[in-house]
This record gives sequence, C-alpha cells and structure tokens, in this order.
Amino acid sequence: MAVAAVLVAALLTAGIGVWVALRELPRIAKWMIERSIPGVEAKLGDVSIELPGRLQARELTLTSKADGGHLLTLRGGTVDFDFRELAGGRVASVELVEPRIEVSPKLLALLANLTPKQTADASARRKWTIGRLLCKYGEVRTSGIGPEELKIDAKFSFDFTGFPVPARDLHEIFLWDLQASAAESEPFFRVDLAEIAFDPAQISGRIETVRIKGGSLVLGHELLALFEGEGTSPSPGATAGLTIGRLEIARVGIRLEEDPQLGAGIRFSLNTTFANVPLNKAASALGEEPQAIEVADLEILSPLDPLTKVLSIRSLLAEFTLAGLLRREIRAITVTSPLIHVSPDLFWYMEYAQKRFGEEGDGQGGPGWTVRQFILTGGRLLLGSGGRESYGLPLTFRTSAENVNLGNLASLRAQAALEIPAQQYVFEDYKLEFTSQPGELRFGYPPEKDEKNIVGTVRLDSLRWRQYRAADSWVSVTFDRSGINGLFGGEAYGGYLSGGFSFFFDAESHWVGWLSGKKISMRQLTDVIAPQNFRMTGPFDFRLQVDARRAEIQRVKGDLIATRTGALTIAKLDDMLGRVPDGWPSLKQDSVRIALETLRDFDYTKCSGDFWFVDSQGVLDLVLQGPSGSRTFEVVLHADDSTQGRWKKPLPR
Amino acid sequence: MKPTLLLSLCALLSSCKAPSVNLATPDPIKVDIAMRVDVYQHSNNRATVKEKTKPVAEDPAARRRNRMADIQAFKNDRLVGEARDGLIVIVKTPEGEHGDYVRKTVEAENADRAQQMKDLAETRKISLPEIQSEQGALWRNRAFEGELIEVEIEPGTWKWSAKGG
Repeated sequence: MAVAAVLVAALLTAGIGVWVALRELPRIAKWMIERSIPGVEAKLGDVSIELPGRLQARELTLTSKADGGHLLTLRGGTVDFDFRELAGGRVASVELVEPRIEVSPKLLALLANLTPKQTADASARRKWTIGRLLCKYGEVRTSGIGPEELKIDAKFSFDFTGFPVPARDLHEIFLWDLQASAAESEPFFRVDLAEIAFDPAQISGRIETVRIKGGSLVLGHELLALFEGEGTSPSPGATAGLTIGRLEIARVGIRLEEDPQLGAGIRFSLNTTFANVPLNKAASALGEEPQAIEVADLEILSPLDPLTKVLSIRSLLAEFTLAGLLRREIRAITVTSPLIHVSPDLFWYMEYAQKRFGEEGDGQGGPGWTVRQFILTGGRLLLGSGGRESYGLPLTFRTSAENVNLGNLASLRAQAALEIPAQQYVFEDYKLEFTSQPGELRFGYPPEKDEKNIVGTVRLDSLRWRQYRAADSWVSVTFDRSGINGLFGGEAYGGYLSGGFSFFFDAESHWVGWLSGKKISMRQLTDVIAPQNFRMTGPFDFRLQVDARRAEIQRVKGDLIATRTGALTIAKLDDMLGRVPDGWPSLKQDSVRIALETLRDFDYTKCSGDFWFVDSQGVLDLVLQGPSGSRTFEVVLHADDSTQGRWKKPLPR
Repeated sequence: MKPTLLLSLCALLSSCKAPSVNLATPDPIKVDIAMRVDVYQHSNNRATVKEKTKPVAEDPAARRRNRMADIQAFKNDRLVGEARDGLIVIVKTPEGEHGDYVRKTVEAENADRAQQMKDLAETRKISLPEIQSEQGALWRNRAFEGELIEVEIEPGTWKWSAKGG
C-alpha cells in the first residue's frame, strides 16, 4: 500500500513536473539560449510540444543585452524527434521558418566570445546530430562591418540531409537577390544566385565551392574603398583563414561607374574561375586576376547631351585587372574601327575634360587613366553625332603608344598623333581614287595655342577624280567647334592647283570652296575635258569660288587668264567641214570652208575670260586676241526654255 | 588709112607693159568674230532644285541641336527640369505667348528625345523604359548646379529639386 502511495506520489510529482515544464517551456528555452550565448537576450513567443515528438517554437527574437540591437528573428521552427533517439543525441529534423539574421559587429563579437572552452564543454557533453536541417526561406543582412560599413542583404535557403555530418557529399546553401552597398549609397554588387557548398567538418577552414551565377558589379568608389580597406580592416574571426576551394563567377555584368574621361556605357560580362582563394583575399584575387574582354558598342557621350556620341567603338579588346581598373590603369587596349564623331560636342568634350582634369590630370576626378599599351587600327572620322545625318570621311587612322595617360591632356596631345597609313583608296561610288603617303591626325594642334580641334594632314602620291588627275598633292583639314576648314594643293596638268573649303557642322548651313590654278597647261586640260573636239594650248591661271548649301551648289564664279600665247582649235568643226554638200556651188562651198576654218583655228596672244553659274544657269565670257583678229565667245546656259531674264536675250529670228 | 591706123595702134599697144593689179594687203587680214551661244536646258530643273531644298532638318538630333539654346534658357529660368524618364518637364509655365512657346518647344524636344531613345532601344535591344531610366540619370548628371532635376528621395518616391541645392 505504501509502495502504491509512493508510486502515485511519484507519478503525480512527475506529472506536475511535466505539466510545469510544458507550461514553462518558453522560459526554459529562453534560459537555455541565454545561457548558451552570453550577452544575448532572447524573446520567445511560444513553444509547444506535440506528442509523440514535435517541438514547435514561434517568434524567437535575439537581441543584444548591451544595447538592445537586433541579432536574429525566427518566425518559427519545428523540431521533430523520437524520445528514444534523444538519448543518443539525434534529432530527426529541424525546420527553421523565415529566419532573419542581422550580422553586425555585435553578433560577430558574441560569436567570438563563445570561447573554445565553452564549445569544447558543450561538445564534450553531447554531439547532437540532425537528420535533416531545412530552411526554405531566410534573410540575412550585414551592417556596420568594416570601415566602409558594408551592407549586404541576401535571401537564402538550405536543405541539409544530415547535420553536421552530411549524408551526401556536401552541404549546399543557396543565396539569391544578394545586394552589397556601402553606407547609404546604391548597391554596387548584385548577385542573382550564389551556390555555396561546404563540408561542415572543414567549415572553419574551407568552403569547397562558391558559384555566382548572374549579377552585376559597379566598379566605382565603393569598390575601391573596399579594396583599399581589405588589408587594413580586421577580419572577422569567423572568416580568418577560410579558403574557397573553387570560386566560379559567371555572367556577372561589370559596369564602370560613369567617368567623365571615359563616359558612360562601359559594360562587360565577367566569367572566371579561381582555385583555393583565401576568403579574406577573394576580392584581391578577383582584383588581380588578368581579364581579357572584348567590349562591343562602347560609347563616350557628349558632356552636354547624352543622346549625342563623341566616340563609338564597335570592338575594344582590353586586358586589365579589376584592381587595375580601380586604380584607373589598363594593361593593354586594342581598339579596332573606332569612330570619332566630329561635331561641336566633340570639342565641348575636349574642353570639358580639360576643365575637369586640368593639363596634369589632377582635378577632382583624381588621377587620370593610364593605358600601358595602346593599339588602335582602322579608325575613322564621322561628321555628325552618329544620328541619321552623318557622313564618313574616306580616311582611316591608326596608332600605337605606351603608357598613355588619358588624364594628362598635355601628355596625351603630344602622344595623340594618329597615323594615317599609306594606302590606296578606291571609292567607286564617288569615282575617286587616291594613293596616300603616311599622314597624321592630331588633336589640339598646335598644342601651344591650346586649340580644341583636330587637324588631319595627308599627302597623296596620286589622285584621280573622274577623268581628272593630280600628283604630289596634300590635304590639310581642321575640325573645330564651328566647322570644318580645309586646304589642299597639288601638281596637276603641268601647273599647281591650290584650294580650300569651309563648312559649318549644321547640315542645313552654307559652305564655300575655292580653287585656283597657276600655269595650268590648257592643252593637257582640254585634252581631258573634250578630247579631239576642242583644244587650247598655253598656260593659264584661273580661280573659282563655289557657294553651296547642303549638296546643292548655288553659285560658281571665276575667271581665267592666259599667261603666254597659245592657240585655239575647235576640231569638232572638222566634222562640219567634212559634211559640206558636194552639190553646192563651188563658191558657196569655198565660202563655208573658209568661214569654218577661220573659226576652227586661232592663234592668240591674249586670252581672258570669266564665268558664273547660279543654280542651273550661267554665263561664260571668253575673249581671245591675236595677230589675225579676235574671238569673243559668250556662252549662256539657260535653266529652261524661257527667253525672259536679266541676262537673257531673245532668240534670233 | 583706117586699117593702117588700127594696125599701128595695135603694134604700139603690144609693145607696152600690162598694168599690175595688187591684191595683197600690207597687214594680215584680221577677222574679228563675236559669237553668242545660248544653251537651253529643257528639263524641269527649277522644280528639281526646289525639291532638293528642305529647310526643316529631318534628323531629330539636328532639330534638337537647333533648339538647344532655347532649352538651356528655359533651364536657366527654372521653367523646366530633367525628369527621371529622360524627358524634360515644365515645372513652371509662364503666362502668355512665352508660355505657349515654352510648351511647344518642350513638346518638340520631348518628341525628338523620345524618337532618339526609341532608336537607341532598338539598336541596343533593350526596353524603352530601361533606356529612359538610363537617360534620365545621364541628364541629371549633366545638369548644371541649380537646374531643376527629379530626385529619388526614397525608392519609388521622386521630387523636384535644384541640383546641388
């Protein structure tokens, strides 16, 4: 009886104990957590046990005892267990529901304060194993870490089969929507998806694999600060000595922060792999890894109008390191087929760059960009801003240079003589063909005058336009903010031609051109213009001026004068002489022949003339005087059939 | 008597030298010829010439360049500002004809910008809103101190503010 009473009392006591324990589970759990992690204050919404083996907790919050800072929030969690396995230290499964972890210096300090003794004691007491550890969705956020107060936000999930010892090869954690930013600025690093695989037995020393799939990285001042602080900021104890066995980065779009020197639009995709990278040196390893990329459609935009291009490059092969980019240093650049958009914006850009950086590149933008080796081929000039109305110039240029400092404009200008290679150019559409000697294209020339211009000079061995030819010629063209001015000269037809032109950039505006010739052989010239029909001999000087708008020549005006004696022969009249009818009376035949022969041949001692054409009409006056008389020709070109007009005469009746 | 006289005259005349007629000239013969040649073109060249001349620029970039000074003046007067979508917005409309002019000029500018951004989106094969957002940022970067720009004060919330103010 007494035994029964004792048993009842024991059962009652145990029942009361269980009842009390179940009733006070939240407090017990709170006490256990706070004991396990000193310095932490835990709040637990609810803890319940569902028999036979499920423990559920809701609304767990860990805060710092020191200042109340948030450390971790767990919306809920479920632990499935079997009482018989608990004695062996095994839990069937643990699921964490929406954990939110705030990784801050406080949390890292608390983790660091978990002394080896504490963990060793805990380990000595019991080695717990979990059959499955699951988290379908969680969030982690870092703040206030490092001198740059790097902020990282990410979402994560994992499903470990066997913990800590994995049932399969490795544990995997998936992170997505990862964003890293410094202080209050926009995120400079975004990761679409990251897969982290690790062996828990080696977690303190090694992460097997980190795969980054998709994302973007802005190379700018935040990243530079991160690189600079990497060697000086204290590494968190948890990551010191941690090595990544394999770091794979795929499809991460790199964008260079808009730089006044280089402009916007520098983007490329990063795909690379590293092996055995120390975690705290991962950024350095990534930074020093040689990269070779081909950038397509690189554009530098106008400083005043981002819809206007000043330079566009179809393809650019750059060799660099990310750390080098942050130092504004590029190992090698090979540019093929760049287009310089010659418009006022180009010269605004030159002026803007000079104001911004000064001649020595010490402006507020910091040191200038340096390119250790620079090769450029197939460059072209395009008149216009790349809009619909742009006109390419028929010249290419190239250059190669070492240690080009893009920030030091004075140095750049000295080095920026682009070579126009010797080449034979054939433009069938324009019926233009020429063979050039090496020429050059210079920016800001002459440098001592601080001009904002481009000056191109080319010497031509031979030039042919339609049937006209010239030899030993030269063309010098100066582009500046107001327009294009050019001069040219060359030997042609026994004499020397020289001329010039002046355009405004506005396609609607007027332009002028002029051409003069000295001692031009009229024999050679007329043999080309009207072979076998008309010939004049003797040297001539001439000059002409063209006024035009767009492609429409509005006026041509000029004059000519013979510098020595010569002869005029209108050989075309021989056809008429041959067609004098035999049936005519001999007197009539002879008269006609004498008249035509008189007109056909004429030796002159003086010859002068002038001409003008407006639109499609004009007048050529030519006066020749010689021992046998004079010839006065007036050729009037009428635009239409009308006889009414200021310089028109009625047709003879 | 008469026959004898006639014979004597003939004998007398036959012994005389015939008179010479000089056809040469002391100076060469000079021929002065004055000719006028009228060349008529029968094609309708005038019409062709007129067709070639198009006073209004067809290129949106050229049109924008022509009104650039006006737009800058509006910005200086703080009448318009650079919006987040790469377009300009009238923040304060002046009264009267000037207001109409501002409105028309801004409409034309935005139409041309929109056309250029559309071309850009097609060229780069990205969506127009992305281009607009990018252009908005670029325009804001290029705005001078004091000019009105649309600034994001928190995600999704924008307000007009003077740059650098």
